Amino acid sequence: MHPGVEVAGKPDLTRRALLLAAGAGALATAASAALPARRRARAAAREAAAEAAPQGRHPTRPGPGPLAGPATAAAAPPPAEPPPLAGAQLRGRVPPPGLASAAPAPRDGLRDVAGAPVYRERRIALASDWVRTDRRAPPPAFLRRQPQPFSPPTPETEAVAPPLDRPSRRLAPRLPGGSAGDATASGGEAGGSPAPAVAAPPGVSSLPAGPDRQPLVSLSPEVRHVIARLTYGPTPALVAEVEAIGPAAFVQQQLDPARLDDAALEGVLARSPVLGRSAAELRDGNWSLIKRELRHAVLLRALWSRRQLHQRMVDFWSDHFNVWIGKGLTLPYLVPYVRDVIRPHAMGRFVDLLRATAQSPAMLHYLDNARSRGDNPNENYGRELLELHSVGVDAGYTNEDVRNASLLLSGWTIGEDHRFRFRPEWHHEGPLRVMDFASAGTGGQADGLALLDHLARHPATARFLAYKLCRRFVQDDPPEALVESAADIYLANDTAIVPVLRHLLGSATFWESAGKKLRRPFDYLVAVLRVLGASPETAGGSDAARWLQDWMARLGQPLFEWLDPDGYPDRAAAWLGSEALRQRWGFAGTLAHGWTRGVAVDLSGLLPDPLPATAGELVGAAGARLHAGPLPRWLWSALLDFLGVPADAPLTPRLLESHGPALAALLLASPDWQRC
Amino acid sequence: MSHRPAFTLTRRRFLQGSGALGFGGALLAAAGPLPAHAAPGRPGRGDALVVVFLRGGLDALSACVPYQEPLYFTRRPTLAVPASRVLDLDGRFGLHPALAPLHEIFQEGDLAVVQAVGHPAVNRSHFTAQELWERGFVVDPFVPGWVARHLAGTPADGALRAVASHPRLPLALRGASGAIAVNHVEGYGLEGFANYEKQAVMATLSGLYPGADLLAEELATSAELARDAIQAVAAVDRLDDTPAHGAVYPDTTLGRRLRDVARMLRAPQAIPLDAAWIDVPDYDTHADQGTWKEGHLRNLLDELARALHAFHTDLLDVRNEVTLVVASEFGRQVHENGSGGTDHGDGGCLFVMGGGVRGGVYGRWPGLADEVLVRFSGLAVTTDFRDVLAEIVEKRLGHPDAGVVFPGHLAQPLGLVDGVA
Repeated sequence: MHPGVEVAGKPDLTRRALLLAAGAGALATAASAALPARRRARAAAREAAAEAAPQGRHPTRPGPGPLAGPATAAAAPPPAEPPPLAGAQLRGRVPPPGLASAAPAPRDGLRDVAGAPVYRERRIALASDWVRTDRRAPPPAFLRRQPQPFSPPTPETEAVAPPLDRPSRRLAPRLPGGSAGDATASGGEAGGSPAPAVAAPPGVSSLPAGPDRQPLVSLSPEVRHVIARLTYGPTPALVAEVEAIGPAAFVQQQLDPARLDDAALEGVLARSPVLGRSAAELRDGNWSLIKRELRHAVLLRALWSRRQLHQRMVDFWSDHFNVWIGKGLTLPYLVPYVRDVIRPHAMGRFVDLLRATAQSPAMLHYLDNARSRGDNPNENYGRELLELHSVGVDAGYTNEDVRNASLLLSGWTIGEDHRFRFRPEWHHEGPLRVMDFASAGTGGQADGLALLDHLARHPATARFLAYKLCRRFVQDDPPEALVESAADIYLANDTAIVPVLRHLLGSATFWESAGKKLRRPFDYLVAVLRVLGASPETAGGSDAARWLQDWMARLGQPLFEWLDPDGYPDRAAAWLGSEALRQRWGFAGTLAHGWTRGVAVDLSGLLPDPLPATAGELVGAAGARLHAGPLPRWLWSALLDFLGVPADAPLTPRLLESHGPALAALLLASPDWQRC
Repeated sequence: MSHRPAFTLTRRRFLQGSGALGFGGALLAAAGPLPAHAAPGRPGRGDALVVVFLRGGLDALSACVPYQEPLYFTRRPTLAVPASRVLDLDGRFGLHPALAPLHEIFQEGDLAVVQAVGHPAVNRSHFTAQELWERGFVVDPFVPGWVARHLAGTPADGALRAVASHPRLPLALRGASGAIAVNHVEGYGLEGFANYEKQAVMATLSGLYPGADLLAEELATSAELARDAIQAVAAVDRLDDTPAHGAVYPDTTLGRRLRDVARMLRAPQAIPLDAAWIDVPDYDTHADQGTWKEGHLRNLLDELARALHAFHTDLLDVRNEVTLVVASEFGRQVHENGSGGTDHGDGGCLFVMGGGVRGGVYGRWPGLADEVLVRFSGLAVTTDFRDVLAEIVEKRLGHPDAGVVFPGHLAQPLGLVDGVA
């Protein structure tokens, strides 16, 4: 169902209601009145939408419709002939063979509510479905093109095509970036960087990089959900794997990362001249290279690690214990910080993680504890330790508690060797209290350790961490009961993190939360790279690292650049807005067109072989490969509109070349990729 | 809200296919011939508000120095700005020497300084304090920020009316209709697509964002704003970007942000801006904040003052239509700490700049004696942020009732601005 048809008038209604709710009247009476008004308006709008368009539900909403699970779907008898679509959207088109009207009908008879077969079968890629005896044209130039590590011209300066005139359009404009496919096929050599940037180094074969023709869609919403939340996004191989073992088993597997073989990736990272070094060694190194190596390693792990949940937890703790890369000498400290502090403890016990961060030169320097002396303490770390790292701002501590915490940790500093050092002569001695913790103040460094142990096991810390983990892995406003139960488990397991995760990921709330989170910019970037099978160069000093890090910044989440100690925000509200989408659209478009540096993207490797015969089939195949869920009918229709030809128009090389990349980009720009 | 201008685009209209063409054309026509430094006035609307927010807690005692107080020098043995170096304001207070460009504006009568300003509930946490400030001291996650509330109560002249010069919207603008984040004006547009396909891509994107649940609606709103912004900001970008009156912005992030905002303020046909927000990071000077002569804080203040001075010069022609506020979440402690810095404190200072400002120093000075300090360490708060902001909102920004913007607070105006003529 096309949204333009489905929800006539609704967006206006909603916007108006929003304005009213935010307006003078609502606030004058009571600020909180805005909430119910807004919710009422939205609920009304949703009801109206649901009535008007039963099959137009959002693909990621649970319930009947495109998301219907196998059981439900199987129960629906396949109609002999799909009923016609609403006239307004059909516009005389016939859905492609395999989508609706042609044989063979979908094997399992899946239908959406209106009775139209749902376009989501994995079998879509079976060659036999696509073979047309009357069609033996060679693949178009665009599809033969080798991935280009670099494509200099920008769309603004190079586009030569006339403005799009859809109905009468027959001549395909050429893509910017070269005189069509043939020339660009040799562009790599001409540009002096011959091989497509690439992936598997000698001796390493299991990196999941590179294009993959298998479709992405899974019949199971659970499979899609567990992949969306626990990992950095689906790939055909991952979907197949999770379908094979089942989502529950996948969760268990991810909760035990040590058993997952990551040797291939570690082999790649081991070649880094930076990642294995000490802070003392790095201080005299090339700082801009160190910075790029550090960030690129995070990206490559997100992209290729099989320990996806572990990497997501590293990301979580990197925010929780945020350290800003830009402060003074922080950068060389960050390499060992991520390697020796965050990664080893990311799925261990929080108490160990808290101790490790407190003694890490990165944190000591970032929050000034390295400078704090008992006779005149620096409160920076002491305050954030309570507010952000442990009990949380609502725990009821006072400014005296902040000061006392700082005194207990005074003398914790950085030695000449750029490692942790305790200096007794800087340490405050004497009895102190921090909330319900009391110290005689005679134990030297043990005073501070006792405080950290106490804080890690504090019920307020349990609650705060449980809340944050729920927010990250379940939904922005997690139910109280889930947070409380997770906090109990945290305390019962002596601050171990895995049992808490196991609890969250096994909860009914988790399984009902599909699509409720907004992907943060870094997650979006990685998800798009993964689904495209994009292969960045692996060296931190490469063009790929530079190019991708530039995009991280443009998307709003350049790693380690968050200045304040609270880390990048987690809630959707912090990331929504015009600029977020503009940049995401821009990234999807740039990548799909292959206007990259050092990142090989091969769209041709994603389509079935042989190619679809018609435009309608092309949209179907692209949707099966690149849409985050089953491709709903309205979306198929909208994308066909974009191609500007009837569904049964033969797929020409020109059409593929002129519209293929943007078609892929539109799929990646769709809201389903923004959510997880 | 009041009328919608011709180029306001609803989702429905956009979805009607060819609507996109007329839209772009109309806007281009409107924006094309605009002279670079036009001052077309803001009929029916009050001043545009510009907020420059110094994140981290400005050390107010270094910025606006109580140089007649002996206690200031004893509490700050290494950090105090010498009395001989301050730029006198009123015989009691003086600006940091790096703020010389602001001192010029003060002498012209377009700058007000408010001392010992803050909020009683602020608890020295950055995050609590910033959130309170941006929400307008209403603690309710579902209430929009105070700038958004102000906008909701004043007439709009277009779909887009507020800009954050930043990649993301600050809390203060969240929930505002027509608020966009514009990190760079230069080169703004739909990227990643060839020119020949942009229009069709844009039209298709419109249809890709149906609002079927709450998050989907939020995304749909974002998509709609992105489309409007791509048109409008690109139109601004096509105009002459030379600052007026020879204004020279520092070549820094802050300089560029203020320059971007000025560009948009000079192009009301493209974006009829009612509010702009600029964040400045890194004011959390716990260690090594430096002396009056050199160091971290001095560099920050120097950049700030030069950027503000350029902005003021650039917008001289419309100085009676723009009010700018420089604020921070809290002041810092009166005593310097052992690492050459200052820890989180309480009362701070705030600047208001614009043609409608009655230049001068405002606020009751509480003094630096132990018994009047907050928790023996922070400057007491004698003026509530809301008193300053409410006065500006009503007298300059044309809001009929500041009590709506800052509910639960009976504002006591300081008289630091004139009413809009």
